[in-house]
Amino acid sequence: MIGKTITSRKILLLAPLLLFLGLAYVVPFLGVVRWSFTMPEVGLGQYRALMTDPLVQSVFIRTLRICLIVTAAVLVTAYAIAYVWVRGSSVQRMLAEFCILVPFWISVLTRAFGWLAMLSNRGLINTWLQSAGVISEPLALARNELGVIIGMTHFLIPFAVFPIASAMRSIDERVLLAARGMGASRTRIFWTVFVPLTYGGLIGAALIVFVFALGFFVTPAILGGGRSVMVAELVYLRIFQSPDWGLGAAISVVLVLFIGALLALMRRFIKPAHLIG
Amino acid sequence: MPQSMQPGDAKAAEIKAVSIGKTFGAFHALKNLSLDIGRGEFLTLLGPSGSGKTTFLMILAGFTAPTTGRLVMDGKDITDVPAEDRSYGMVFQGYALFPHLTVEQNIAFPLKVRGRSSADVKRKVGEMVERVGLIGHEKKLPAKLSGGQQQRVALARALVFEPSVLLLDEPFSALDKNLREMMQQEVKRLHQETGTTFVFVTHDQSEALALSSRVAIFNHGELLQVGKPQDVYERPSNRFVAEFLGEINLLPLDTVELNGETAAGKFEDRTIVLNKSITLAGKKAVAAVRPEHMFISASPQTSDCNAITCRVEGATYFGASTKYHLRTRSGTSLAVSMPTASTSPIAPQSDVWVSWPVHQGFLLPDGG
Amino acid sequence: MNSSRPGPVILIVATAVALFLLMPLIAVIPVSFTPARFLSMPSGTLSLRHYQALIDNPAWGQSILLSLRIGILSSAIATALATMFGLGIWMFQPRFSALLIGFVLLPLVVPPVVSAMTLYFP
Repeated sequence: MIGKTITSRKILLLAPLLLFLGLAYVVPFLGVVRWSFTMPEVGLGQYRALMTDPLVQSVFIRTLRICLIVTAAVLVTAYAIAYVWVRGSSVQRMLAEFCILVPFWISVLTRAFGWLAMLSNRGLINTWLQSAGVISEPLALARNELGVIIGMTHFLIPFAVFPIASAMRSIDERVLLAARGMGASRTRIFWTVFVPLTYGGLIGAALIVFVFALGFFVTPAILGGGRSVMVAELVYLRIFQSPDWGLGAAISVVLVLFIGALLALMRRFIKPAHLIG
Repeated sequence: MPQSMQPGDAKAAEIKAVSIGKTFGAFHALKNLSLDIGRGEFLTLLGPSGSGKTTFLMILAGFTAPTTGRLVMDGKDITDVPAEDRSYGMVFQGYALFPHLTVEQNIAFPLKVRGRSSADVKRKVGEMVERVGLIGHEKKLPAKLSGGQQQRVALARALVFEPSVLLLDEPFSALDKNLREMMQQEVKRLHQETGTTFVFVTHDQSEALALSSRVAIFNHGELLQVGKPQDVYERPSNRFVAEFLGEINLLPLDTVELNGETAAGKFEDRTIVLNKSITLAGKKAVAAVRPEHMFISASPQTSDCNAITCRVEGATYFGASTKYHLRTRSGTSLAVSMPTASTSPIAPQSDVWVSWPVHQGFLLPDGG
Repeated sequence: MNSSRPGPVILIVATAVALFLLMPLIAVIPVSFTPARFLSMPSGTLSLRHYQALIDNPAWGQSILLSLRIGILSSAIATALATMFGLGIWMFQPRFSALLIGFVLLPLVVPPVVSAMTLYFP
């Protein structure tokens, strides 16, 4: 029975990962969903709290604000370096690739501490500016929202570069030549032909960056210094510090639903193959 | 037809290429090429791939800078003028339409670049859409069009700003045979209507002969011959041109004598008389005759004709014509193409005479 | 035919981005030589005290070993599971492959803190 062996082989190859994720992810998440309705007592109390608690509200709003600013900053910076990576001379391409990949492989923790070393009151920037006599008091660069935005932008640039570069690579060189042949200036070609042809990559990149940013934990915790708490840190605080498991679970559920809805809405722009370039 | 598009319009440019050379590293893509492109002519650059014809077109367009030599347009040196300032029309292989713009927006692009008023753009685009037969497709994206329609958009976009030169890089290579012939006629018509200078690149010899006012044949980065289609086909100056433009029979000749306009040599035991189109170094040469210029008969034709004896080895039926495969007594193989309607079938293995008029054969150097 | 080599504007922006990307990674190095106990730039004197601590304090060594062990084990398991799944999708092209791929990529978009909490679930 050939059909039977193929089916059993198919199951043998596909099942382990699906089973693992099912047991290690889906089932426990359903447990989290249950918590959100049962802790401390059965009902919609946690969701009502979530809608009304001013602290939770302010954290949600701050998270959205930071994510939007970070997404915009990442798209612009990633576009510039992706352009050099794809269309630069061979030396420029090599340098760009180095600058994109090295941070990509280094842990989020190291990078956050690196920024703390740059931005804190006794960090590189403030030390230099003070010794140069430009400022007398250190600038507040870290332990606030600015620090969080800088750190997150830094972390997320490579994730945006890959889909953008992939879109740039798929542009037909002859289309650009054609525009030139018709008398269009380089600036005009860039804005009316090149950029529109990378919209797909830009939207994909924006989505990835925004979704990753929503769940950021380490960078805001280190660079925000407890003063600009984002939603992931709030979940952590509710669960591991002020045991309020029900509210933490409810926030998690809302976060996952929000991300799921966003991805479902934009699914035609997501190409998994472009994630790693 | 708008006034500005009359034939013989002053918009057509003439271009002189003087000693153009192009090297990529150690590779010589073009070697010392000089060529005059006349005002309003339809010049075809013909050659196999890698012959340098596309490199020359890219140099004309300004996308590639020549390593040596000058380009002169209407008396002005344009060698260092960038492509965007030459603004010739260009149709690329694969059309290179803007995939994010509609048919209308594609055609409007070069006009907008030139800062034309929106009323002007609208009028010109409308005219062009009508001229290339795309009415009803204005709002479509290129991906929604057939190959032939995309081709029309590319032509419209390249001609809408009335360029003085239109460059076409293998524009028909992606089309099937019927559509190809239709678009060839379309391009020929547009050439007559606009009066613009057309420079066309192809590797298809029949396309080159059918469309052009002159053909320039390239091989290994060299320009081998330029001339009217009839001239290059019937009086090729060397063996490569003779063979590239179509099938040809080559008969090795002994003791060639040149007498003024004609040449005579020995093939087997017959004297062959030919046009003298080349100067000859030695006594050896080749007689070249196109298959369709020869005919088969039971007895030799003598009045102004050469004739040799052959044995019929087979025949291939092509509908309008039939091609016979023959072999001479000394073993040289020959092909003779005759209209099917005017001949009765010839039996294989029969011995026949193959004849051709004196003025249809020509002399080529031996081995070259 | 380099029709769109980066122009000056984009090169300047890209250089700034490249410096931005490398800066914090370079900044970590001098900080590790600070004589102070807190995170700061070494001013005047360099010190290897933090590297000394790395060797002297057995807690650091143990945690590095633990990190390595967990890293190797989890990457081995993840690679094995993902390879089998990838092979399965490639060989059999099951009817809902897009759906299955979407499902296995879900952990990528679920915020890590939610994953952590999920795994905390007894």
